[in-house]
Amino acid sequence: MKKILVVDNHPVMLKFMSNLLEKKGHQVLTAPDGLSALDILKTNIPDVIFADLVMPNISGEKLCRIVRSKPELKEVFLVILSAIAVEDETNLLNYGADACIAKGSFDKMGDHIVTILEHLNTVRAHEISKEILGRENLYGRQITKELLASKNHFEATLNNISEGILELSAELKIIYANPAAVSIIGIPEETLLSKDFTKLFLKKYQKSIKDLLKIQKEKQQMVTHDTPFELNNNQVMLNIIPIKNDEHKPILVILKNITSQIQIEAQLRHAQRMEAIGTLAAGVAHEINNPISGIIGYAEILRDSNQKQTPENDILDRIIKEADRIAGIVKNLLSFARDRHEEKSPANIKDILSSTLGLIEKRLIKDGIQLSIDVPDALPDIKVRSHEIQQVFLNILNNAHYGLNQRPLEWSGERFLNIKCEINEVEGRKFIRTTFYDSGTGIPKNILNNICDPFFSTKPPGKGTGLGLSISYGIVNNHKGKLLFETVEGKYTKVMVDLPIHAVQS
Amino acid sequence: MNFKKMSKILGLEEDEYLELVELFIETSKSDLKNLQSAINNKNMEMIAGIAHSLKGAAMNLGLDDFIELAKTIEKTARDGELEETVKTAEIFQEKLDNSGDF
Repeated sequence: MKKILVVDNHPVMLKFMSNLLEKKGHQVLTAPDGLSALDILKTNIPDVIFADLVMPNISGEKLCRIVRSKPELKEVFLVILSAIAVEDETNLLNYGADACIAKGSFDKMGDHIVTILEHLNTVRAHEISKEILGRENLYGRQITKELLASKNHFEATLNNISEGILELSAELKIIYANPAAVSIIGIPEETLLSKDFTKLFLKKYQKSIKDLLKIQKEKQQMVTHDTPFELNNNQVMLNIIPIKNDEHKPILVILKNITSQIQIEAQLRHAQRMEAIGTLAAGVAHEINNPISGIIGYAEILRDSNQKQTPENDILDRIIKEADRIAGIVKNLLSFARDRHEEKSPANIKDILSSTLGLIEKRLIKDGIQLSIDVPDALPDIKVRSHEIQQVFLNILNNAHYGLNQRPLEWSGERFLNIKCEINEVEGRKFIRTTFYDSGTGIPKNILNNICDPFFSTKPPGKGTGLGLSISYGIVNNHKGKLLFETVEGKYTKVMVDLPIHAVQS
Repeated sequence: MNFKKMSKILGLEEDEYLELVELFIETSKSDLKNLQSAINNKNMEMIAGIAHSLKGAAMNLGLDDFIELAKTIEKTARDGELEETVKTAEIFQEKLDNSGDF
């Protein structure tokens, strides 16, 4: 006696097969479609599966592939029952089936089925001929071919569009996924099929998704939502569409991956914000500059009119010193905000870098930081104001140094700072990218957007002005370059400075 | 229709064959309802699909009249000849309703 699972959507076929097989003394399980078959397979391991090819809710082809992908079903003898089997040019046995029986009148089919089962008893599975049995005397070849042609046409479309397309059963199980959907979700198709759609998402999203599906069901119309859901580190938007006129009430889900769109929008917003802050800072700095000059000037007049060194003079000196400090901050703020229109001249990045490193190298080495520098000799020149770029590099190096020193003394990881220069091409423009890669404590995700804001600082009071990166941002921007960050909190920080290559006129 | 003869040809017991034919009629009745709504929606793809399934089952049972009718429905649906499809579907329905006369 064998345990046999028959999967076919026509009750007549199921009945015929059960009668035939039960009469031969086998135990028969039946399922009207691929999805129900998978349910049965969760608790039953049959010896043989007979499966139709064209079925609602997971086709026979998919079913075969899923069965073959599951280790516990490896030994199952898989037989395809289909009229299409004969028409399709591709070899159905590629799906992982062991044999194929063409559908036709029951007498012939019955014979073939009995033959296969008898063979199973006497020889090993792989010795059975992989010929399609009963392909003679088949009706309607031409029509079936047309059916296949139109199916292939739709398949090609679905396989090549960038949106993910899923079909769900009324019970929200995935019964179809196109390649784009598989890649967005990041789970192989075999595992994906028959999975509960809502379970693909993190717990916190599941309720909203269930709500959407409910609305779709009640209104019987397409629904979508405002904020994207996170799926496999992608930001996705869903369109949920009921398929009307289908008794199985399947649901179509279109997945749109908008991750890169969101990133671009965020960059744009950030750039706009920086510009607004820049305008504000320039205004404020300008307004402060004039009264400060006044304060310093009048204090100097008072001081100079007193010849002797009096306690009052001492106070005046302090006023001047403090006012100078304000003037210094304002000057820095202005360099963030506006281009100084100072002449830029061609310079070699290696020279700038080594003169900057000269200022800080000893301190880095003293703190046990492994410094590695990879700068090719033959890099083209960049057109810059060298002292400004030096200031940018120094800021970045100081931050890296600080981040590395934030690691506790007993930290066992390697303290390193790698500096690398390379040519990088973005949208047809060539840049020299200098990357500063340190194994410090990284930057928390929630402040990453603010680190270039003036006066934003994570350092304790007195340790930093909060202007370092905002000045650097302003300088790099004025050089038509880019200042980029990549960081994982607690792991590393990469700061990338892209500066355009000086185009030599030939 | 001679059930005895048909069941013999198909290598089945007569009552078993009868049972399958009854199941065919029952299923086909609900299939025809879907066919009708597909016709109302002019969903040719769906019409052809249903006819294809009807044809398969008729072939299994050697029901020549139904095979021919289902074949015609499928073909006319694919060729977009809705009028022919409707006409043939009516004949199919009629034949099914009279199947008690077997």
